[in-house]
Amino acid sequence: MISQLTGRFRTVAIYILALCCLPFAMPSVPLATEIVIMTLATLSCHLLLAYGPLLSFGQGAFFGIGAYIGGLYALHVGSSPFGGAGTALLIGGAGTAIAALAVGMVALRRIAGLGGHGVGGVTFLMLTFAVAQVAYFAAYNIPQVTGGENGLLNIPRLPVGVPGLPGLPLESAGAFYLFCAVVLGLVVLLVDLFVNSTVGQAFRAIGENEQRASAIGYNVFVLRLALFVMSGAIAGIAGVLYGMFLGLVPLSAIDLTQSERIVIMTALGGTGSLLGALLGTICFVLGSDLLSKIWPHWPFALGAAIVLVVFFARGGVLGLIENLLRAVTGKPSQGRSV
Amino acid sequence: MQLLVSQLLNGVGLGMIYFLVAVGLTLIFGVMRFVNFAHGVFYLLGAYGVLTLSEHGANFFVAVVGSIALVMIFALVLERGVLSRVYELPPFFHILSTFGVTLMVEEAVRTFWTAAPHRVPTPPGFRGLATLGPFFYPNYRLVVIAIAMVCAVALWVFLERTRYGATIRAGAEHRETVRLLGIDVARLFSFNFVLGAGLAALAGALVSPIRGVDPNMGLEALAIAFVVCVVGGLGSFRGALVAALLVGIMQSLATSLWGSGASLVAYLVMMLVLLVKPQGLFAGPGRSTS
Repeated sequence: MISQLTGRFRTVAIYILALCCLPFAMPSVPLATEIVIMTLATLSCHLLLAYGPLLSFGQGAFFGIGAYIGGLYALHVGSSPFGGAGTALLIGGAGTAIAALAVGMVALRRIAGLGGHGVGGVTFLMLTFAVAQVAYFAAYNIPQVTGGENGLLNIPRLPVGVPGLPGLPLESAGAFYLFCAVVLGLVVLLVDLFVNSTVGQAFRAIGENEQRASAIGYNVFVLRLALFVMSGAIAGIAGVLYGMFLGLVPLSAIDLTQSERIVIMTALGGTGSLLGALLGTICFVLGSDLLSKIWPHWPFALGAAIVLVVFFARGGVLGLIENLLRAVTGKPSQGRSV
Repeated sequence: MQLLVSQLLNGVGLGMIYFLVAVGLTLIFGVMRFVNFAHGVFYLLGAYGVLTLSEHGANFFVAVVGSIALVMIFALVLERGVLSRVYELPPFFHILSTFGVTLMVEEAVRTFWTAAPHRVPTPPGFRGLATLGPFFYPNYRLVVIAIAMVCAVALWVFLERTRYGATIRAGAEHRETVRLLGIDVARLFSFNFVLGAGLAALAGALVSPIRGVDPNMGLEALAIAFVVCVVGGLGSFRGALVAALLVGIMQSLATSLWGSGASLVAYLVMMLVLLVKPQGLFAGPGRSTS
C-alpha cells in the first residue's frame, strides 16, 4: 500500500518525513530523540530477523558495547583535536563491529547448516541470549573501565565538525535531535541500498531456502556474518548516541532487559518493511512513557500486548496499518509476507 | 582438600539443578519443536510457591510437592489455553508469545511478592553438616543432589523403558509418523510440556533455601539452560546431563578462585566448547533440519 507512494526510495522518504514531524508530534524533544536512537537499535534486530532470518537476543550487548566505547572515547580523547561526535560514532561502530565479528564467527558456525527457521534459529537465539548475559556480567565485573553499577558518568556531549575547525555544539536538545535524525536517515539510506542490492537479494534466497541458496553457490555463512556485523555496528552506533544523549552510560544500557526491549520493539513493529522498526519503537517508547506514569506494573500490559500481537497482529503495527489502508481503499494485498 | 571436595559437590548439585531446568526445555523442543522462552517462569514460580506455602506453615517437603503441583496445573492451563494455538506458527512466534507470558508472570510476581529478594529457611532436620569420611558437607545440599539424581534416573527409565517414553522419543525423531500411527499428539504435547514444567519447578523449589528467591531468578536459570542446550545439543538427554554437570562443576570451582566472576564461567565454558567443537558436544535428534 505505502509502497505506491514514492517509488524506489519510498521507505527512505517516509523515514525523512517522519523524522521531520517527530519532534513536533511527541510530548517533548528528548522523547523524540530517544525514539530516533532506539529506532537505530531496533533496526539492527529487524535486519537480522528480516534477512537472516535470525532472531538475535543479544543486540543489547552491542548497544551497550557501543555506548561504553563512545563514552570512554568522549571522556579520554574528547578534548583532543580528533575528539568529535562523528569520530565517536565511527569508532564506536567499528569497535562494535569487531565484537560482532567475534561473536558471529562462533555463533554462526555453531548453527551452520541447521536452518534459520529450525534448530539453527533456536540455537542462535540461545547463543545470543547468552552473549547478552556475558556482556552484562563483564561490564559489571570491570568497574575500573565501565563504572560498574554506578555507570560511566559525566560523558561530555562532543561537538560535531571537521578537525581543526570549531565544531557545531550539540548541547541543545534541538541540535542533538537533528544530529541523531541525520545519523538515522543516513543509516536507513545505506540499509535500504544494501537490502535492494544484488547482495541483498541473496538474503531473500537464504530466507526462502537455506540449502538451495547454498547449493546455488552462495556462501551462507559469510553472508550471514556480514549481516550480523553490520547489524552489530548499527546497534553500536545507537549505543554511542544513547551515551551522548544521557551524558552517562548506566549499567542498564547493557543488561538483558536492553536486549529484551529491542526484541519487543522489533516484534511490535513487524518485519515486512524497514518502516516496522520506526513504528515499533514509537509505540514502545511512547507507550511505556505514558503507561509508566500511571501504572507501576505496566510491564504486565507490555507482556499482554506481545501475546496479543502473536494472536491478532502477526505483521506488527505495520501489518495492522497496511490492513487498514487496504480496507479503506479496497485494493488487494501487495503480497508482502511477514 | 576439604575446599575442593565441597566445591566439587557444590558443582554436582548446581549441575543437577541446571540439568532439571534444561532437560525440560530440551524435551519440549525435541518433541514439539517448540521454543519455550517461558521455561524460566516455572522455575521462578516453583521457588515462590515453596516460599508462600512454607510461610503458611506447610512442612518443607509438602511445600515442594504442593508448589510443583500448582506449577504443573498452571503449565497445563497455559499450554491448553494459549500456547497450543501457536504451535503451527514459525518459531519466532513461539518465542514471542512465551516471552510475553514471561513478562506478565514476572510482573505478577513483583506485584504479589514485591521485587525484593526473600529468604527461604532450610528445612529443620537438614540444617547441620554431614560427615563424609574426613570431609564435611551441608546436609540439605546432599538431599538436593540425591533428589535430583533420583529424578534424573527416574526420567531416564521413563523415557527409555516405558511405552509412553518411547512415544515421546519417537515424537522427537519423527512427529508426523507418530501422528499417522494414531497417537493423540495434542495429549502427548500437553503431557510433555507439563512434565518439563514440573522438572523446572522442582529445580526452583529445591534451590530456594540455598539461594533465596527473587523475580530475576527465572531469566537467570533460563540463560543457563540455554547454555546447556547450546553445549549439549538441543533435544539430547545425554547432552543436557553432561553439559549441565560440566557447567555446574566449572562454575563452582571458579567461585573459589574468582569470586564475583563465577557468573561468567558458564558462558566462558560455552565459548570454549564451541571453539573446539563448533557443533556442540553431542548432536541430538535436532541434527536433522526440519
